Amino acid sequence: MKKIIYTLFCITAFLSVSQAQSNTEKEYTIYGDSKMTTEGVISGKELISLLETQDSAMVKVEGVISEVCSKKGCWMDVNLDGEETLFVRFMDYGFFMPLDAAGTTAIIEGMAKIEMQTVRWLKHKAEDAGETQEVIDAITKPIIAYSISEATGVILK
Amino acid sequence: MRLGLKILVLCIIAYSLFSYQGTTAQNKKESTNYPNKDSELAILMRDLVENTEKVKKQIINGEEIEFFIEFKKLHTAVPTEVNLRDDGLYTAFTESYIYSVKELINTENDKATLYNNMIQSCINCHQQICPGPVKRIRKLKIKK
Repeated sequence: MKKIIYTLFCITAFLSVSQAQSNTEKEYTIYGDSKMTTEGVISGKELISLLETQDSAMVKVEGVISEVCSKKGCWMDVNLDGEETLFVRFMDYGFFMPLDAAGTTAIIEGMAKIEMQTVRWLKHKAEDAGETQEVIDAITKPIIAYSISEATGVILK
Repeated sequence: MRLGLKILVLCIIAYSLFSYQGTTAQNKKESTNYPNKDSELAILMRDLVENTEKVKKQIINGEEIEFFIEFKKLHTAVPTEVNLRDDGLYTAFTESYIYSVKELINTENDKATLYNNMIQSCINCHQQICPGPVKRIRKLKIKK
C-alpha cells in the first residue's frame, strides 16, 4: 500500500512540475492553421540568407509587425532584420490580423519568395494604409520584395 | 485495501489528470480568424464565396444549381469603404455580375462556361476595387 501511495505521490509531483513549467510559457494567439506550432522557427536574417541561395522556402519566420492593413487587417509588413521587410498576405483571404497588431512579434508560416509587387497593388496598399493622394500618385514603379503571399498560419505573441 | 485509502488514491489520480489537462489547454489561446469588426458587405462576400463553391460542385456533378444569396443586398450592404459606391464603378460591376448570374441560371447549355464568366466578372471588379481576394476568387473557376 505504501508503494502505491509513494508512486502516486511521485506522479502528482511530476505533473505539478510540468504544470509550473508550462505556466511560464507565454500565451499566444493563432490565426489560420490552428495546429501551427512554434517549432522550427527561423529569424528574419536566416530567411534572407536562405533566399540568397534558393528561389523559395517553406518557413516559419519570426519578426515584428511594422504595419497592418488599416481597413480589414488583410495584409501586413513584418520587419525581418531592421532594414528588409517581409510582405504577408493570408491563404484564401481566410484570416486577418487585428488592426492594432503593429509592434507585435509574429511567427508566419508559408512559402517565402522574393516577388515583384505591381504598381496597382502598391497603390492599393498605400490607400489601405491611409496614405495621402499625393503619396499614392507618386507610386509609379513596381518593387521587388520578400513576401509570403499565402501564409497558412500566424502566431501572435 | 480499505475504503478510505481507495477514495484517497482515486482522488489523487483524478486531481493529477484534471490539473495536467487544464494546463496543456492554457498554453496557446485559440482565436477567431476575423478579429476585427467586419462590414455587412464583407460578410455578404464571404457568404457569396460559400454559395459559389456549392454552385461549382453542383455544375461539376450535373445537379440543379441553387443560389441562396439575396443579390440586391450587394447594392445596399454597408461596405468597409464608406465611399465605395460614390463613383459608380462598384454599382456598374455589380450589375454586370448579377447579369452573369441570371445568364447562368436561365441558360441550359454549357453551364461551366457561363459559371466561369460569372467568376471572371467578380475578378474584374476586385482587380479594380479590392485586389486582396483575387487569388482566392481565381480558385473558384472550373478547370476544363
